[in-house]
Amino acid sequence: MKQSDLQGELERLHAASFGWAQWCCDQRPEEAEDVLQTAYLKVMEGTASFNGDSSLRTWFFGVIRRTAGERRRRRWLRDQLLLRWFTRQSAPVPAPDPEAAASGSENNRALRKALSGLPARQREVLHLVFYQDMTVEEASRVLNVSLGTARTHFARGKAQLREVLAQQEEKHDER
Amino acid sequence: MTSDDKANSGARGFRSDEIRNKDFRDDDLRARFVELRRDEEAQAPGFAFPPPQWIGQSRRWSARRLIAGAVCAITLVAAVLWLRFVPSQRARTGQPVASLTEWRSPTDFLLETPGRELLRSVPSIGVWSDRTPASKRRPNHPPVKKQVLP
Repeated sequence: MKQSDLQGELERLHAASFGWAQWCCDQRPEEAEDVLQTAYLKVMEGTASFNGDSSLRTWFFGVIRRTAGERRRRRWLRDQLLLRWFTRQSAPVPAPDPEAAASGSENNRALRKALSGLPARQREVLHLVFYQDMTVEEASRVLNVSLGTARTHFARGKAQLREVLAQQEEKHDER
Repeated sequence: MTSDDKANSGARGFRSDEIRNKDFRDDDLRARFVELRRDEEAQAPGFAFPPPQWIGQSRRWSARRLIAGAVCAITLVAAVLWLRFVPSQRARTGQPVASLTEWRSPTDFLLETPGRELLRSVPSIGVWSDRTPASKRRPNHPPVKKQVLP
């Protein structure tokens, strides 16, 4: 694929990519922007090259996920090891952006809150299937897990999400 | 199983996967996610590729990290080799190593208190008569003669 074609496709995918990057960065929009820029840079430099084995979206979402993971590991290393070594204090863990968490309708806030309580893998599969409208197979490719594993996470995630949302609605009705 | 069968079963799996994804029971969740997506996409920043001058910077950093890593590894290997193969100072000077029984602590003189020699020796009080060896003792009864029966 030519660089200009690739750029056009990535531009078309940009909003969805940003949404995915945001979920990979625990709902921190600024960090998501950085991750997305780093992922674009990898594509431009050729560090991440598309070989056509899967769809461009599946491939690029995988790049974003890996980039977010690298960033998280680097931050953990810097915060946990160096800060603790020098100051002998526990490093502050950046909290999710309160503005992002509070924005949107009440339904969206409830959904974000419910999703944040789920294990990361389940949250990722649900996001890719429902939010990004992927199949479970495509989600398994993005997450680099087997189809069976992705299906298990999907089923468990759905059940848990429904349960949490039902509990939230019950609480809301009681008020 | 032929490759066509595999492909067909794969396609069936894929189709059933799609059907499962479109399960009507999931419509409630799907609708919630669509609403969330609409909300978040409205907040997405404009598309912009990184400026061209950024290209290659990360590679330079990678090269620097690689060089730093190589220097650290070489230093470590050199330190290990030095510790392993360079003989100790005593071995270089050729002095024999003192045995454990001959060794005396440099601060041993501090323990030299007056009268210490008394503690090291066992005092002799006298010789106890009963302790004389049995061969030197005199018998205190007449020797018994053996009687041979007729």
